[in-house]
Amino acid sequence: MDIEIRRKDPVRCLIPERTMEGMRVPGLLYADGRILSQVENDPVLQQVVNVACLPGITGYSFAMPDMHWGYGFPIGGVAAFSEKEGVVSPGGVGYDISCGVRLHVCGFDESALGPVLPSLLDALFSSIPSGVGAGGMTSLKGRMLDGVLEGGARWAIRNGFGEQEDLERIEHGGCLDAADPEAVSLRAKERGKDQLGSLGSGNHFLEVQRVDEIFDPFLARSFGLEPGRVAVMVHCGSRGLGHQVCDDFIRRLSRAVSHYGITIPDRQLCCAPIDSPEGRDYLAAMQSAANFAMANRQVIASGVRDVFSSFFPGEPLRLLYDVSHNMAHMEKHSYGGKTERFCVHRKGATKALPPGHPELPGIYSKTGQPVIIPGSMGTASYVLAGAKGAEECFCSTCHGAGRVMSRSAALKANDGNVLAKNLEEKGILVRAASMRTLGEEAPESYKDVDLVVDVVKRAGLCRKVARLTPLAVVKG
Amino acid sequence: MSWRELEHSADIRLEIEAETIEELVTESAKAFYGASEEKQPAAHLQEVRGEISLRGPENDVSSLLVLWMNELLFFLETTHRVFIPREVSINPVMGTLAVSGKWVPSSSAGSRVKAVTYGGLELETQPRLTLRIILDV
Repeated sequence: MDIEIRRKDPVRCLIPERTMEGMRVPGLLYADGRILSQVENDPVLQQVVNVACLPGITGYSFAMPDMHWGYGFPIGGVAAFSEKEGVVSPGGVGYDISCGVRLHVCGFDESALGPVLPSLLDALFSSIPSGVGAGGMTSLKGRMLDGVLEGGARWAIRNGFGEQEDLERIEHGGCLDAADPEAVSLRAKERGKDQLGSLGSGNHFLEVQRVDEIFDPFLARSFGLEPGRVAVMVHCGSRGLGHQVCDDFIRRLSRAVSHYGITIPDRQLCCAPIDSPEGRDYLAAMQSAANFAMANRQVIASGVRDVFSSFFPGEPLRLLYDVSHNMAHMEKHSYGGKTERFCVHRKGATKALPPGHPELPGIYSKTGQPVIIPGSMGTASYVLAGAKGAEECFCSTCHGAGRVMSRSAALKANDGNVLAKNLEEKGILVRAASMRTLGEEAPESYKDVDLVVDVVKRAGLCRKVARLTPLAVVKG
Repeated sequence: MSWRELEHSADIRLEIEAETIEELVTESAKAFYGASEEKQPAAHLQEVRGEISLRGPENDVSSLLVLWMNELLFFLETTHRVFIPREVSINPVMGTLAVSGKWVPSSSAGSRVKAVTYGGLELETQPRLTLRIILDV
């Protein structure tokens, strides 16, 4: 199908509602000419159109500049559904429920790492489980897993993984209260019980970084970021447990669509009314998986802190923020002159609350929410802050670089061992559980994160705070 | 080899071919393990006979194959075992599948595949049975 794209301004393009029968709203792409040229022949545009057909969708079917082909919903997609008439869809959250990223900031500069960096990296690689099939740092017996599913990062801190003050710096205080472990299948629990405290594989990583450039000195100071300062970024999610929850509910909601008379153009868009037994159960299970993901990152961070404290005793590793980029939340927004509750799906997209937003923790009420944007391996990452302009897309922004090259093509072009050597020559040390994954995750497999961030900044969704560059990478 | 990898920007897209539905079930298992980087074990000293039975939607072979491959994934991840099919009994109308075969220990610690999806799922019947399926990694 030919998809008409109309440029609205230098960073916004519209896909008109008339593009396909059944569209309820237009599509809105955040893209400049360079980003658009990378996606114009990609199935992602059809997915933006398909999402626009779902009941109760409000405003637009949005796609962030890191958009690429996902399951049902595009990765980089944002869609808000009215609480009364709308739906919730597992495809709008993705398989890796609450996949997310957190950033810790050290109290010292890169110069202090000096010759210990290789040993520090080796210690991180041996302490933090990563790669295919890696068990977690802790095994959950009996009812302990239910405690994680209910308590999220709060459970982790109660059990000695981290500090109480971390909770204020985790989205939703580290715990989603509507989670219900009873809504999670035994299969999902079986897959998750040995995986808490593990990075997994694919695009997940742990990175030691340095603050390379400051764009907004006031915000950077508020976030404790200074040029040269060392930081640690963790990117991972809910592991097999989240994948199984998604799979379970795709099957269940595939049956629900006909029951509720919902027409969908792609079966991975299966969904159910928000206030239906299926919709409520999915929200409860999905929030449980999100709690698992937040606990997972908290446990990993505790391991990272232990390693750092053995090299730099007494130096704290302060958490800046932990934010997910695969979630659906019930949120209150003012849209089209009315204030209502919406189920906002962000799949490969990050919440970005502007200053003064009531949901913000006190420490960030004046600055706006820190938004952590991981780049691809060997390239920069960013710290952004939510801005008022993000209200046009239900307080959302991009989540990363976004792939442009298939894994097989990346593998043909890159030998993992050669890539690791090339990165080392650039001053980036790498330890990887799989050289194949390393080759697949080569930097050129992704869009240029600088371009992606430039678009969301120009669109007014976020303010640029700081750019971070990698020093050492642990890759799953 | 009756399967190959197609282009996909983020995950693994497979095309699997067979002459019969029964063979497609067997070939799907091979494709799944191949994509998971699971090596077919040379010696089966610890093999155990077993059977996998599934019930999926009626008249929907492609969904049944997604269920089948997800079943293999679950056991690979949680028990570190590979299932080698021997006899396949499938009733597409009823949506039932029973496969007997043998379990052997996995050659790896787990699976790089995290989910078998319905995304871009296609089943062609002419000129050969051809399944296209995307695995999340």
